[in-house]
Amino acid sequence: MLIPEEVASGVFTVAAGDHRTAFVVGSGGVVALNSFGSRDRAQSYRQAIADAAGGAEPEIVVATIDHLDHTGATADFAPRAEIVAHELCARVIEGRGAPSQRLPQRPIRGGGEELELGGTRFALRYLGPTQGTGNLAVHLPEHRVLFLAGPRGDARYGLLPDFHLRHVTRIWREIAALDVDVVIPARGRLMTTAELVRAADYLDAVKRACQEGFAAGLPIWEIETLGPFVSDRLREGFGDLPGFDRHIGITSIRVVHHYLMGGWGMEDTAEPDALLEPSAPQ
Amino acid sequence: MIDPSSCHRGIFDIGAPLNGYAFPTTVSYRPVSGRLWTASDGIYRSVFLEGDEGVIAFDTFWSPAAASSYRTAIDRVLPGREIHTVVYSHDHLDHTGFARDLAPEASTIIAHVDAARVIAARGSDGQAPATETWSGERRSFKIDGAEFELINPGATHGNGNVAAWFADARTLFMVDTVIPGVGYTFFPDWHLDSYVSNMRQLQELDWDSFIPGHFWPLDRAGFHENLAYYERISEVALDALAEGVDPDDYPAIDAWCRERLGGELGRVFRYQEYIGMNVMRYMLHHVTGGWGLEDACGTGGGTP
Repeated sequence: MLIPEEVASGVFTVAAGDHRTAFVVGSGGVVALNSFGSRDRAQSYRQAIADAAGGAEPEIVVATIDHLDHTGATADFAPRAEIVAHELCARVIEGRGAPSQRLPQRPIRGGGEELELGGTRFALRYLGPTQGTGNLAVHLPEHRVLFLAGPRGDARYGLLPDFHLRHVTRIWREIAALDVDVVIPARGRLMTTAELVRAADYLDAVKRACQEGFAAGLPIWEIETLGPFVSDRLREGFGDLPGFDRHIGITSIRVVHHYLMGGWGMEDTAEPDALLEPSAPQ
Repeated sequence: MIDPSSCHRGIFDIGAPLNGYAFPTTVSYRPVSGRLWTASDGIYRSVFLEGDEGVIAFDTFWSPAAASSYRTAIDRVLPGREIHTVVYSHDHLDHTGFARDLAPEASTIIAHVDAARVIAARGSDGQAPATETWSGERRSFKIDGAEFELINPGATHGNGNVAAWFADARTLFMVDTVIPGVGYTFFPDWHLDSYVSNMRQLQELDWDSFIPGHFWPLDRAGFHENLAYYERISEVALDALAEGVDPDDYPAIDAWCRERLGGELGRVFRYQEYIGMNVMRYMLHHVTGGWGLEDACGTGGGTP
């Protein structure tokens, strides 16, 4: 059973294990973000919405990211709702063809759109590659709430799955400048904008320390060597983050390979928007 | 010697001297067949071709100093020859990042358009952009009397990653795909969704020896066995998820792997270093559904 927590009037968040999402009960209906990744969790999420919204079902689902653990159960969660997603996210979902993950019907183009969904004003922002593909920041300006998959209020980033390290922290900082009271991440506990900035500070510090280790000639493929090197440099500033000691080694291995290899794909270049062009690889 | 303060800097954005990039390596070499040679510093490996007049080098090695050592090796085998052509296997800096150090005189840099697009947009210091691109699945080249074919099997690793087939030498060269032993660290920038099936297409070609971008050449049985390893790790990752192992918790995954897989895989090269990371990456692949358009479309960028 998932227990909704109201973070602003009509805006609720629910957590299942480490995963988290949100929904809005507006004057024109319920708009849900994501679906969780399994049938059980999707059905629990659906029930949580019904409990908070007098039995209502989600009429619109915003799929904020392509990853299955967040949006892979939309078929069970909301089989009749309209699915909204960024065009890049929609392209991946279509290409993947997972039966449990419904195809978006309403694409959000380019850098995003402001629109009214279910009687609530949404700003769906795509500022560039952060994690996954077509990852939308969902801003509810009237409620002073932001939802974003990627950042965490701790250091439990593991392997930074599908993070795009060239741009992610710059974009998080831009998003943190929005005038909001609550940041709802897709993993872990609720955050403030100050904590979102700190999350960017943390990843930037890991990037800097990994470069220093590489520059010094460390065997960067050895977690037993690189992990302690980075940990020693970051402990004073970030050692209080839950999960720091358990995750810093593998996170560092991921980050240092960004510099060894030069980044991954167009997302990690100076021209990530080229992916939005009609001639971009399909 | 390379100066760590003034050498090409890849994408580093710190100001410190890059001693790691300036560390001198020793590149050894041996003939493969006919015009084809292979060179290695013990970890990285590449190939080069003797032309009628000059040299066609594949890739550049991983640092300014390693590129310089690669050049020294080529100069020992083919003294006084110009490296007029560099062929890029894919976009990553640790294989193709330092043509400016290897062969500043090279007038032709060949890359698949999917790699060339990333390289141009990246703007890494030391990585020369392609001067000649090709698209699609296959292209034959005859340069300075040497012949080879480049083959793009689809999404495998990196962008525009292509195999070079030297039919006369019955040899296939491809980087950061099949490598002896377990996978490298966490399969960085591997496109796991279609990797094995795309790589298996290369078994249809007529070759006896596969030269990887790391360590030593393999025969067809070794190539096949290596791809089977990926399939096994994919299964293992599903088992770990089913048992409730946290896909973000590397120490827990590594411990789980060592408890269960030592008997089966413990003697595979570099098992001790990377088995946990290999399984972790596959667990995350299964959980997230793959990463990006490459995993969703399986075409490696999909230039038709």
